[in-house]
Order: sequence, then C-alpha cells, then structure tokens
Amino acid sequence: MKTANAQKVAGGDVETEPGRMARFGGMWDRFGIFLILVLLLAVFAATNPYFRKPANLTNLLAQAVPLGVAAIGMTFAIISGAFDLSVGSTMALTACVMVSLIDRIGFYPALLAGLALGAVLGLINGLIVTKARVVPFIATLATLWIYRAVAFIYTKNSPVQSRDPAFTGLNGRFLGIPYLFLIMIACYLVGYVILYHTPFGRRVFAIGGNRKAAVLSGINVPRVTAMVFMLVGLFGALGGSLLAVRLWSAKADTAMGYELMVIATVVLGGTRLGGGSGTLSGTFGAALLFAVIYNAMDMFQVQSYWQKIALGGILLLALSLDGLRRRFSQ
Amino acid sequence: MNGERFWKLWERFGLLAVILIGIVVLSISSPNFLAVDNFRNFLTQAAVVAIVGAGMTFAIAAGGFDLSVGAVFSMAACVGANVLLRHSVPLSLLASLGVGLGLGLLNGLIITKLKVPAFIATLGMMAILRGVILIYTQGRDINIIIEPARQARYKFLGGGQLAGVPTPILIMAALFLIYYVVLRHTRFGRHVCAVGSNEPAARSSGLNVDRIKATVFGLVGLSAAIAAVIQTAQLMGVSGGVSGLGLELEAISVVVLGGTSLNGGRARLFGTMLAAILVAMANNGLNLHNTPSFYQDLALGLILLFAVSIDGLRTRFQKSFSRLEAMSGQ
Repeated sequence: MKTANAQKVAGGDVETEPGRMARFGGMWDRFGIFLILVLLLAVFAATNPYFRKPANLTNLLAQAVPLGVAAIGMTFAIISGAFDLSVGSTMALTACVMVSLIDRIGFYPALLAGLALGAVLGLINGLIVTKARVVPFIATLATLWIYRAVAFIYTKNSPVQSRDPAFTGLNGRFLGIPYLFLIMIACYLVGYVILYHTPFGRRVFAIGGNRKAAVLSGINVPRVTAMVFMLVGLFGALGGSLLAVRLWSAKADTAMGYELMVIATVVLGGTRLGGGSGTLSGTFGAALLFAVIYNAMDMFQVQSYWQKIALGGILLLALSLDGLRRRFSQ
Repeated sequence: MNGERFWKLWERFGLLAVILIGIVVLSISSPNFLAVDNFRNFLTQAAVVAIVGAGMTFAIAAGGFDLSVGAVFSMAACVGANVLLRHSVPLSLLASLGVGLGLGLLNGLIITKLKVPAFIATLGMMAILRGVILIYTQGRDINIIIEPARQARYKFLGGGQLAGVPTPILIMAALFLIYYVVLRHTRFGRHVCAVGSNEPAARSSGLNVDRIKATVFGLVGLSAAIAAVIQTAQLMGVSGGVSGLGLELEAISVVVLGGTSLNGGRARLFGTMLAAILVAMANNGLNLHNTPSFYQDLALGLILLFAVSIDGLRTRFQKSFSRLEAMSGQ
C-alpha cells in the first residue's frame, strides 16, 4: 500500500502490485465512484418518473454546487495531510458579508470582497497552524467557533438578502445547464491545473506523502501549508457565496455542520485521510453522488429523518468497504 | 532554567491560575458573581461538559476521538426519559446507561473490526443517530410528567443537593476520582496510554489493542449517558433534535484546553475538569453582563486558541532555551 502511494506521489499511476486484486483496487479507486453514480442514476431514473424529468436532473446539478466547490479546497488540505473544520463557518461568514455588500457596491465587487475575506480567513488558519504550531484539527476547531460567532455578531442574527438581478440571475441556465454547475466545472478545472500541473500541487502531494522527506528535499512546508489553507478559505467562500445565490439570502447559521459534509465528500471521493493520495475527480464524483442521493430521497418523499440515517449509512458503508479492501490486498 | 521551571509550573497550575484570575475579575465587574447560588449554577453547568469530556479524555489519550458523543448523549436522554414515563427510576437509569454503553461499544467495534478511522466511524454514527432520534421521538419534545414521588427522585440527580452541594457536582467529583484511579492505577489505564502513544509497539508487545480501544469507546458512550441523565433530570424533559447538538466539539475543546495531547498517550483528566469549569465560568460571566449567547462561542474559540498557541509557542521557546543551555555548557 505504501509503495502504491509513493507511486501516486510521483505523479504516475503505475501499478506496483501486479496482483489482480490490487489492479482491481486501483481501477476501483479511480472509477468506482462514477460507476456507483451511473448505477444509481439508472436505478432512480428507471423507478421514479419525477426523478428522470430533465428539469429535475439539471436542478440536481445545481444542488451539488455549494458542497462540490467547497470540497475542492478541502481536497488540497486532506492530500497535504491537514484538514479544516472551520470551512462551514467560513462559508457562512463570507456569504453574509457578500450578500450584505451587494446592494451597496454591486454583485461582482461584493463577490470579490467575499472571496478576499475567505482567503484571509484561510490564511489566518494557515498562520495559526504554521506560526503558533497548533495542529490543524484544533486550530480550525477554534476558528470554527470564532468565525461563526463573528457571522452572528455581524448580522445581528437576522438574515441578509438582496434582489440584485446579477445575484439572483446566477440561478439561470445556459443551454439547459445551470450557470452554477458551469462555474463548478470551471473551478474544478482550475483546481485540476493547480494540483497536477504546478510545482505547488506536487509539493502538496509530497508534504502529505512524507512530511520529513518533503522538509529534507527543501520544500518550504509552512508556506505550502499556509497556501493550502488559503485555498480552502477561497473555495469555501465561493461555495458559501453560491449557496447564497441558490437561497437568494444568507444567515449566520448558513452551512452549519457543512465542515463534516465537505470532509465526508472528499473522503468518499477516495482521498486518504492521512494524506499523500487523492484525486479531484473523485471529489467531483462524490459531490454529485451526494446530490443524486439527496435529490432521489426528496423525489421518493423520504422523510428528512431517514435522509440523515441514509447519509450516515452510506458514509460508513463506503469507508468500511475501503478498509476491508485494504485488508484483503494485504 | 528559570523558563523551564515556569513552564512546568504553568503546565500544572496554569488553568487554576486563569480560573482564579477570572474569579477576581468577574467578582469585581459584576456583584452577582460571588453569590453562592451563582457558583452552584455554573459548576452544575460545567458538570455536564466535564463528564462528557472525561470519557473523551480516554479516547484522545488512546489516540482516537469520538464525534458521536452529542448524538449518543441525546439518544440516551430520549430513551431514558421515555422509559421513565412508564417505568421506575432505576430502570430508566439502566436504559440510559445501557444505550450509552452499547452505542459506544458499537463505535468501538466499527473502528476495530471494520478498520474505519475513528473520525469517519463516529461521524457516520452521529449522522445515523441524529436520524434515529428524530424517528424515535417523532420530532417531539419529551416532557417528564409523572407522579410526584418518582419525579422528585429523578429530579434529585440533576437539581438536588446533598449538604448544600448540588448532586451533579458530587457525581462529577466521584466520577473523576474513579476515572483517575482507573487511568493511573490500573493495568487498563496504562494500556490506554500505551496504545495512544505507539499503537504498533503496543500491538507487538502483546496488548489486545482492539479490545482496549473498544472498551475506551464504550467508556466514552457511558460517560455521555451519565451526563445525559444529569441534564434530563435538570430540565425534566428532553428535546431530541437539539439536545447535545455541538457537544462533541465542545467536549474535544475542553479536553485539549485541559492539556491532553491530541497525539495520544497522555491524559490530563483533572485538566479536563478545570477547563470545563473555566468555560462554564466564562459563559456565566458573559450571561451576567447580558451579552448575546453567540459571544459564548467566540469566547470558547478564543480561549481554545490562546491555550493551544501558548503550548506551541512554548515548545519553540524551550527549543531556543535548550540551545542556549547547550551553548553555555560548552
């Protein structure tokens, strides 16, 4: 398993274990999530007339967006061996600030301000982790409380909204595909280029794969770590803003508990919690998978209580299968 | 050397000093703070978090943690309250504690047998339980309205007093003494720390790591259930949907604040208790000054950040101290 990871760090997908089981495992890591996605889509479309309506299917794509976008930054973080519990609070705070600014300075400047704020919040996390040497779990646990409280204080606990046409108009469609989904695709492309085609991306893998080796080979680990947290904040802010677009408003308790959903999406997408290996395409697939399941449960009129149970069950099932598979391949 | 001695003292008595300073500041700034009733009040509030934190201290010392405690807490409270409506007080207690212990052991089994990381297993368990609770209670609050004699006996556990000391504080004190003895003076306690500091070493030296871990998670669930009984008896009712919400992160915060290392292998049980008291005191102070409740989250975040940053900065200082010493020694 170790050697397979090392290969992935190097950027290639060379099979190191020639066994059939291992090769199956490799393929499964890469395409398993999409296989499940297609299977579920087929089953739901065949069994539920509401689910297969084109309007619902495109709506489903838009549903995946806030979680999917926020999960991009988290993929970077988890690959680098860290993770960020404050992302839900970051989403809420930036969304509140963004929406409250729209009527004053216009949508796009407000969006930029929100993204800048997200980057700053992420950088604060990064500096606490690298300068004060607080482990990411605790540092971001503290800022989870702080950012959320600031959102409450800033909005005085009342919702902020806007009817700006540029803001609400983002819910429109291009050739039937929601703008929001197109934005998400663009974000994944940007993330893909950064992760796989820049020195920074390779350093992210290197740090997560073997921190000591990364330090010894001259990588400025604190700087890369701080930048990773900035990315989490940036994509979190964008996810939060797009969530606000969908709701036409934001509240201080927006995206409460999202941090765990975002982490769950990344892990379900095949990124190892310990760091060192993972794919953005897997995260993309997992975000869509969650949207499909949630949407289908709505279409089948499953009570929201059962939806929670199903979510937890899927998570446990997917990850225990992963653990069992690893046991087998050993 | 002076610096080293200072840090050693800080490690032992830092929290106590901060609490004493807090008492002085709060008693000057608000005249109601020093009232005996107020002390009883916030110590009682501290008891619930402290007891959950006591279990969590074991989990973190063993190198894991449990995100499902809030949901386990709520489940134990709901089942206990429901049983109490029809049956005797001891049976209700048995039901609560049984639910807590059972769910905790289930967590332990998922983690050790299915090889799911504790983070994911307990996250999934949290989602599942939150759904189960809502189905079990049908989303309704449970109010304990029973004949006075039984009601008084149950209420004693949360709102009663023995020799002027509220029962929750007595339960907390007794529990911490028991846990302390278990941790420091039994084989099991030493094994917990051994597993936490180096799991492979513990395994290869013949410890039954799986059983130790499962027991620890059972203990976490049991502690959550004890805290749940206290709170249910205080409120004489439970609202399944919101009970214990966010308790998992609060408990982890308190444990870390108390000085237990997230790396495992080291437990500071009384630190956990003092930290819970400190947080409850800060919340009490904010309440006395009529600040909105979300400032309490801000305070918790800032206290946590402050405490752990000091820890990080200290290791830095110690490094430069030891370097200085080495130089002067030459």
